[in-house]
Amino acid sequence: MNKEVIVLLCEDDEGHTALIKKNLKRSGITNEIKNFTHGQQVLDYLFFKGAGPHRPHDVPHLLLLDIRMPGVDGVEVLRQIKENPELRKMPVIMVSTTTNPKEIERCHLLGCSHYITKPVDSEKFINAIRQLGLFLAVIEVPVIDGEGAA
Amino acid sequence: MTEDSQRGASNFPAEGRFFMTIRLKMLIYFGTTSSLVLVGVILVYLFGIPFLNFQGAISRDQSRTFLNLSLAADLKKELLQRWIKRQSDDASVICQSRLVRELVGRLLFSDIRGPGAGGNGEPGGVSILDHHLQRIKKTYGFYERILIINDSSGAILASAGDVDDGIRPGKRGLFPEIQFHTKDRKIGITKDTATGKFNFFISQVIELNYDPEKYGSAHAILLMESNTGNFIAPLLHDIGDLGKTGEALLVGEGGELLVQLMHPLADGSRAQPLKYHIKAKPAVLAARGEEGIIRTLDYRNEPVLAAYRHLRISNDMGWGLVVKRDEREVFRDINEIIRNLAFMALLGVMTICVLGLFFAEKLSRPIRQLSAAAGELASGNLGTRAEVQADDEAGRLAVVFNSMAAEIQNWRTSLEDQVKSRTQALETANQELEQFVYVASHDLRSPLVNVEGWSKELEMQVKELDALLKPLELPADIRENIREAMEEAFPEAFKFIKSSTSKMNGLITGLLMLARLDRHVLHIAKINVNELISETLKSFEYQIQSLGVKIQVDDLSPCRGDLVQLGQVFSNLIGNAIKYGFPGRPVEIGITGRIEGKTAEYFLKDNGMGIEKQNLPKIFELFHRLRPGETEGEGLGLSIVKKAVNRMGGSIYVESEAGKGTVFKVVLPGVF
Repeated sequence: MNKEVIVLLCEDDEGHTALIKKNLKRSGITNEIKNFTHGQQVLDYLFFKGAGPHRPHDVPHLLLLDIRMPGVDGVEVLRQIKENPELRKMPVIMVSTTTNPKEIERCHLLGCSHYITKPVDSEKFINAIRQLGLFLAVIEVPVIDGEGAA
Repeated sequence: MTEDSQRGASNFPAEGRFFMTIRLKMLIYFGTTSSLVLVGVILVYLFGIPFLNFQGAISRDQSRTFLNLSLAADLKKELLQRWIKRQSDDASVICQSRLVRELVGRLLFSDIRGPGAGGNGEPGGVSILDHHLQRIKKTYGFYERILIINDSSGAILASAGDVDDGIRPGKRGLFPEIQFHTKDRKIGITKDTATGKFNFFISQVIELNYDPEKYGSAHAILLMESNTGNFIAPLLHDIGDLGKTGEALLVGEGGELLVQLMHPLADGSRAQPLKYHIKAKPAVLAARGEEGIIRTLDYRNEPVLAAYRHLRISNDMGWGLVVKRDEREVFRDINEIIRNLAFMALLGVMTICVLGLFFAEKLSRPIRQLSAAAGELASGNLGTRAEVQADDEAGRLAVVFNSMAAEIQNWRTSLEDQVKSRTQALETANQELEQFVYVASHDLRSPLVNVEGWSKELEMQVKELDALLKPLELPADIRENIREAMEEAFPEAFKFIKSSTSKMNGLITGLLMLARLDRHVLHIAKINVNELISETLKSFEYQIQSLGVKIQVDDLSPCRGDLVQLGQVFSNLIGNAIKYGFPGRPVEIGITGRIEGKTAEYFLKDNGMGIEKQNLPKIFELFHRLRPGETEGEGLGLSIVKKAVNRMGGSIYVESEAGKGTVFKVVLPGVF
């Protein structure tokens, strides 16, 4: 993806957030990584709601989304995004510790691009994020047009 | 439900076996009883009841006939004997008459002296006697002849027939019946050779003083003959009310026929009186002197009823009299009655059958309906109700059946409802549990990610620090401290952190699997164990190849269980066998099985390191690990295995010898 793409990281655990950021950078991703701790935050950001920061127009985005979050959980966020005709273009990669096949299936049914399980093992974790980074480096991400998603 | 109804159906014998049985039974009982009663009544009517002295119609007819025959026989006997007596008396009168005696004496004398000696005797004497006899003959009317004969010469001294002829020379042998008269009187039947007719005769010695000097051995015999047709035959042939086949017959002392029979013999010929001897029983008995009634065959070999009497003719001679009647005629009426009765009985039986069918149908219908309703009910249609028709026990049974069916239906409905709600509740609980388990595992894992991740970061930072410190000039003891920290303290700390988080992760995974196991709904089916094991072995292909594991699987019988869980069981056991091999010894695994009663038993034997006696009871415990440091695993495998086996209704046992090997025995429900 080109350097413009903003990587959104929606993860409530700070430790996980920091680890992911670090390892993404180690893998060569230099894009801006915005992180959110609550599902609602990222929704506000994407849908131009609330008082918090909103997304800039005409900028491609990519979302790394944890599932278990307080308040609006990852699945709900995914659903809302994929329901929107514009925002559904945005690649959403679920990153979660849950291995529940039902959950995985649900997310795919809703339209997530990929599902990654966070391994506990540090080596494996680092490796997974690194490979994610390498993967992201080669994919193309579309621009999200339009004002005010609905 | 399908299983239940199948079981019910197999207890239910084939429809055909019960086909029409109750109707048929009723028909048979009713028909047999009625018919027996009907036939019984008829038989009693015909044959009577012996020990109750109740005479049947047949006996009555017979008795009546015998009575008639006896009366007829007695009457005839009486008449005949009286007649004979009268004849005898007549003869006696003549023989004792003075006139006769005088005249006969002289005639006899002259006859003896020869013809001419004294001339024709005294023609006048003959004449007088002739006339006398003639007068007697005329008077009595029925005598054929009355003669006075010289028994030694045969000369006729006087005769009622030829009058005034003087002494006629008779031939010896002309009157065989008077030959050599030894008795006073003789009575009998004789055949008149001239006419061929049969006559009744009385010959009596005329009372003279038979001086042998005068008369020699000659006697004067009075012979009176009358045709049997005059009296005897008509008497016999008058059968009055003895029906068409009634017959009376007379036999002499030797059984010889005395009077012409009415019917021809069996071969069609006519019996000759005096020549033919009747051999039929009544005649024989009567001639012998016995009297009575009898039912037997007569001279024609026809069955007859007969009464027989003995007539005392003289002191030493008697006749037999038989009065008989053909059975056929006697029983003709009764036979006709029997035929009519038989016909009516047949009609009666047919009517009984029809009625029987009707009654059987009517009575059995409620029962059959009930039976059908019961069958319907048994096959699962719980809404079936029986029709309450009858007003007897069958009706009551139908009512009870209906209420029972309604009860069953209610039970089933309420049971089904209960089951539905329970299942729902279970489903909900299951889902909740599943959610919980996943959530728990996720939430438990999350911090672990941090611990591991950050300790890794720490490790990396320490390495950088080390790299930065290396080129610096530092005092030896400080360098030593740094070295200790970098090479011992830090790595040790990181090692323990890492191993602990790893273990924790494993436990969480295992717990997840155990919880999932608990939840898993069992699908019990017939399992082909050999197939399952070969499938399972596929996933161990790599280890088997690389470690050179030898596996021998026998022909195993199938069992009943859950395919997935049983797969887990074998996977675990085989995995353990491979994992806990004796170091240096190639792993050998043998899987055998057998049927024991209603269960299937499987034996998994390995030649691995075995289990110590004190550990044996603990191996199925949760988290128990044999060699915690040497092998991988969380110690959950066997507890999962045991749980799975128990859930399928089986049990698991273990035998082991440390250093030699282990045998696991899995018992599961068998297939029948």
